Amino acid sequence: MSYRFRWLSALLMAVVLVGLAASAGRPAPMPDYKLGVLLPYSGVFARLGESMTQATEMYFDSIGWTAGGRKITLIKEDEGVPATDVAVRKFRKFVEQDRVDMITGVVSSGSLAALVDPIREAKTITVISNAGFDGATREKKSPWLFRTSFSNWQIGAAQGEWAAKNLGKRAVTLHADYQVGYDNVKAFADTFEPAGGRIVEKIFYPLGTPDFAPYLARVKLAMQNADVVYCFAAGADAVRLVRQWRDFGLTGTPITCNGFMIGDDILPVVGDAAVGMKGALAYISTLGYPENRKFVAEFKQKFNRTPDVYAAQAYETAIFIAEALKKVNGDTHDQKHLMDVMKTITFKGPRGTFKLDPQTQNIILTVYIFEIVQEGSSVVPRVSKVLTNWKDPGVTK
Amino acid sequence: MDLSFLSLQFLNGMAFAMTLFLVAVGLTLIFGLMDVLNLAHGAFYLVGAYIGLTVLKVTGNFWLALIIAPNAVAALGYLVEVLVIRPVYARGHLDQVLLTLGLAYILADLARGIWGAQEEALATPVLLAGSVAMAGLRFPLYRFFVIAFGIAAAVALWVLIERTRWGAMIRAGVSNRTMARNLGIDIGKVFAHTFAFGCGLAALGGVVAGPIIGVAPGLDAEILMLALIVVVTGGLGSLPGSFWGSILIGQADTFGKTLFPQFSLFLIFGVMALVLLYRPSGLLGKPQL
Repeated sequence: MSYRFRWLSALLMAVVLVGLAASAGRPAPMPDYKLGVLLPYSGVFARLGESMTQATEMYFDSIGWTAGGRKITLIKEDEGVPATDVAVRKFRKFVEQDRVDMITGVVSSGSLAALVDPIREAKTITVISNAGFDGATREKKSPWLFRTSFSNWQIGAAQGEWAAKNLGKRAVTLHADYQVGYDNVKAFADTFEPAGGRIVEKIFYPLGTPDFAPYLARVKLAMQNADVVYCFAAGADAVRLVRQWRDFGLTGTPITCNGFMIGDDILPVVGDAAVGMKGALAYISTLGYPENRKFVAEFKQKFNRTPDVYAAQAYETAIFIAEALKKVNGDTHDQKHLMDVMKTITFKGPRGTFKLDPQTQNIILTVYIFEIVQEGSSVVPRVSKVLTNWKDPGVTK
Repeated sequence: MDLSFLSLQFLNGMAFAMTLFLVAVGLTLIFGLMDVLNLAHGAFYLVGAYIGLTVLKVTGNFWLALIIAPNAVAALGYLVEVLVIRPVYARGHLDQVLLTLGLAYILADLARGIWGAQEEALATPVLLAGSVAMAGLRFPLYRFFVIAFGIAAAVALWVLIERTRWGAMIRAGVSNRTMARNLGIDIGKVFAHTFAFGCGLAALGGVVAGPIIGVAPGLDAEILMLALIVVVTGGLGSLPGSFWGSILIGQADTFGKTLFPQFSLFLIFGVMALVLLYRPSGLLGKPQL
């Protein structure tokens, strides 16, 4: 090795050492907090994914994309509903390739059921912002899984007890022929029956039914011996069902449904066909909380439409994550500590007071009963009853 | 389950059948003449329904939507035939199937880009909004209109194919393409017109069914599958076949859902399989040589 080269390498070494010493004097800037967002951006749930992403970004915008001194960045991937393997693949990509700090999202219960094991194996904190698969916070629960939205059971169960007390003791159920539909009706029956109710007829239809006529005729027939219809439908099925309900002259027949069927996203499409229907849901845009008024006004101004339940859930999920980062001052090295902190986060959001059940790490839900009413020329949901403190029972033996 | 209940279900079945007919007849017409199985047919239905929706929102006039949407989609179909499908006539069925399937995806995605992913529904025309009482139950007026419209369309199509010069050219093209060309018929023009006409019929179905079925992403595939079942059951390429096939499938679906709800998903496939077992080329299809 030449003299000149040895001199050069010594010089380089010196520069590096001086640099290290200098930087040791002040704390290194904290790296960005990378949040993986797993939502459907294609297929039938694409507009849910869009709505949730808009609300998430709207909140992070409002806090300048920083919390607890950490800059927050999003990496988005398509959940790929209805396939469930896509969600698992994208989840692994988040963990292994992007090395994200936390994951949030998932709309479909099917994706969530496929993800519970990967979440446990990856030991990556995942905050579920929609999917209601009960098992995720029951027998399949894990310390890394939090849910800020709802479990399917919570809404149906809250509604069942209320229906038995207020609408009558004999119910006809009408729901889609898939797992979430059955879970929902079972949750309804779980509290409807102990309260003295009885389900006299169960009617179910295939997902994606173009024509509800045969079912509506059966409902009409069954209602000769019943007091109320309980119904679960979502998406395009909900639009068709609500409109055909009116077309067949069933308006006025007592009906209560899972609120997704007549939520803020469906209402502009079905209009006055939904008048008289009573729904149960954890969010409706007409809630009177100041936090909600502000949320609705901001969302309307930014996106030119009324926010729906999906947007509200994603918005509160963003608050939840930011609050957790603030509480640990951005120091997320101790994941155990971060998770303990997350269990205690509480704040006031568009849906009311946000609080998790530390046992299940699932939200303690406030369920709103609302009725669709005609107000002048517009059709609006009016909240008639607030059912508070609905906890998922967790693992039941 | 008394007689009035069953007759109501029969009417429901007819209304559904006539919707199916409007979609299936375009598909069968194109196949019968051009020997092309157009898998983009459902996408033309979807685009037709969306155009109808837009016209309805802008003008508030359902009847205008019923005229504009099929014509617009027919024009689109004409362009597609001339620019995309014509070059692959000589390339066999597999290439055509791949091409039209690709076309279906592109059209459906374009529709999503233009009209968004929100589920929509066409408003029922005010004139037909009510329902009439029938033996204790009610039946929507609009569905009577759908039934009447479907039957009228079937008669008009039959007259068009059997009694007009254009129909004679189509029939000539169906039975012997080379001979028709030698007789001086511009078969390329007949093909393009028929393809456009078939696409227009799909769009017509989209608008007519719009107040009942609505319009949403994914509907194209649902409709295509139903139309294929009808066409295969009725006999590929047969106009009366698609009419009777629609009625058979529409009624089987409606009564199946009423009487055997647990088999409703499978039932129409069962009917199709049963028909094919005894008549391999469908109810009124010509036996394949």
